Order: sequence, then C-alpha cells, then structure tokens
Amino acid sequence: MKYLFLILLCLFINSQANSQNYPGTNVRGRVVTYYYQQQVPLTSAKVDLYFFDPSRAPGYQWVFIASTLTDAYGFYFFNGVNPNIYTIWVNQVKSYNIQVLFIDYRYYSYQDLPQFIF
Amino acid sequence: MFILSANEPIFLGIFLYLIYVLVPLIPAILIYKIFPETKVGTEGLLGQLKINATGAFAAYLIVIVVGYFIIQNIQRLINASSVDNSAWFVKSRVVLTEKNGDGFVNSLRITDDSLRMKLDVKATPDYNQKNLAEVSFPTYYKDGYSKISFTYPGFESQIKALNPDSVKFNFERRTIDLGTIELKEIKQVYIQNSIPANEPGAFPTLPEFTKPKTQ
Repeated sequence: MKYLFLILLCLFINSQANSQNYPGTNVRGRVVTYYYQQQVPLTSAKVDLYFFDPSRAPGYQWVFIASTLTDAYGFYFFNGVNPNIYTIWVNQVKSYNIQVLFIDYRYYSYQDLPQFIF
Repeated sequence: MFILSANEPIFLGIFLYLIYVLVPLIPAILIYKIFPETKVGTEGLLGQLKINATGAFAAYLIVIVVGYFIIQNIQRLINASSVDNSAWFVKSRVVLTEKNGDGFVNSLRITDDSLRMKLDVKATPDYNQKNLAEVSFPTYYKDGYSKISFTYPGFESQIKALNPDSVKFNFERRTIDLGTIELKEIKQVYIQNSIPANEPGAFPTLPEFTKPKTQ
C-alpha cells in the first residue's frame, strides 16, 4: 500500500512537472467563406481568442486571450495556448467553439482546428 | 522628438518670419545711428497703400518690401521639403468598362473581390524592395492600429504591430526597423474539416470587443 501510494505520488508530480514545462499548444486554423458556391479564404479577418467562464459575474465572463488576423490564405495562428475549451470570434460577428489539446511536438507543429465557415 | 519632426515646417516658418521682421531692423538702426540727420525717404504705391516715409523707417520698409519676394521663395521651399518623403493616403475610384454598342459601360464581371485580388497598383518611385538581405516598403502609420503581416505560401505568417515600445522607430529618418522576421515552414498538412458558426444567442452575453478583459 505504501509503495502504491509512492508510485501514485511520483506519477502525479511527474504529470504536474510536465504540464508546467509544456509551452502551450500552437494552434492553426483557417477561415473560409462561400462566394457564388465556391469556397474562398477569408483574408485579413480579425480572429479573437476568448475563454468563456460562466462562473464569473455577468460582464466579466469573457476573458480575452489573444487576437490576430488571417493571412492571404485565410490561415491564422495562435502560439502557446494552454489546453482548454475556447471560443473564437471572427470579425467580432461569428463565434466558434474549439478545444485546444496537448500536442506532441516531436510529431506535430500545430494543433489543426477545423475550418471555420464564415 | 516625433512632435518636433512632424511640426518642423511650422517652426521653420515662424523662424523665417522672425528673421524677415528683425533683420531689416539692422540697416534701419544703422542709418538712424550713423546718419541721424540724413533724409532717406521712400514714396509711392504699395498695392492700394500710399507710402510716404522718411528716415530709418523708410530704410526698414524698403528692406521689408525687397525681402518679401526672397522670403516667399524660401517659404515655398520649406513647404516642399516637408511634403517630400512623407506618406500619403491615396484615394481613387477605379472603373472597368466594356464596349457596348458605340459606347462603354461598366463591366458587370468586375466585383469587389475580383478587383481586390486582380488589380495591381504600383507607385513611382517604387520603394518596395524584396530580397533576402532586406524587405522594405512604405506604410501608413496610425497610432495603435498599424500592423504589418508577412505571408509566404507554405510558411507560418507573422504579424507585427507597429508600436514604438516594441519596434525601433527612427523619427529623424522616418524609418521603422522590424528586425528579422522569421517565417517557419509548415510541413504539417492541414486537414480541411469544417465546422459552422455557433447559432446567434448561443451565449448570454457578447465579449467587450472594444475593451477586452484579459486574464
């Protein structure tokens, strides 16, 4: 029993240390729109990353994380985002819920988010 | 420093005006001191104004009148120098037309999107320079709003905010040094699964976009 407790304690400390060393997830996504039934990238769109915390008082529930613009291909990037559930607002008009996960940087550079249809 | 640089033509104009008013006093004072009894006079019409002055004031008036044309030319040069190498926001309306019978009418094929993607505008002199040693271009600066994005196919794009605290501004030369912009190659293939937007009213409140609250 004593050994099991020690093993569990070591595992817990190890996982805590790993999550503290984790630099955050680099997130990549794309925003597209439809123009005459043809999919085209939404360029220079404002992409805001927010965390919605329903436990906070109304008016303080939206926590701003970061903001960027889409490039000429509709891509946007956020670097070092802590794994959690977030909401992305595009051009301050439409919102999309995303989940940022831990990624293994030995195999991946980014976590790819699904394309947003604006 | 920035304020001084932007208002330089105004200060130069005031300085020029002071010289224009004060320097002609020198011959007037000299004439008054050396030849107090000599009757130096001027008489005639200056525009609609009839002039009849004598003594030191006449000398002052003559230098003022002669100096006016020189000063005017210098002021023009100051104005020209303040306009040179400054950024301007150019506005125009481009209309693409096609032949219709005997005349030309607006082409219906041209839309806002096609114009944005296909219309190429070049200015002369062209300050855009793109080589591996340097990428330089003119930009329009607006405090708190200006951003520069660097995009290259297959590489991660970079966006730099033009903030005097984070990038190097040279106010004398009006240059901004962004340093090295590193665009990392994207080797990971993007999987194009799509999701639609949340339904309107999915959240009880909207974010405060103008004053976002950070963590």
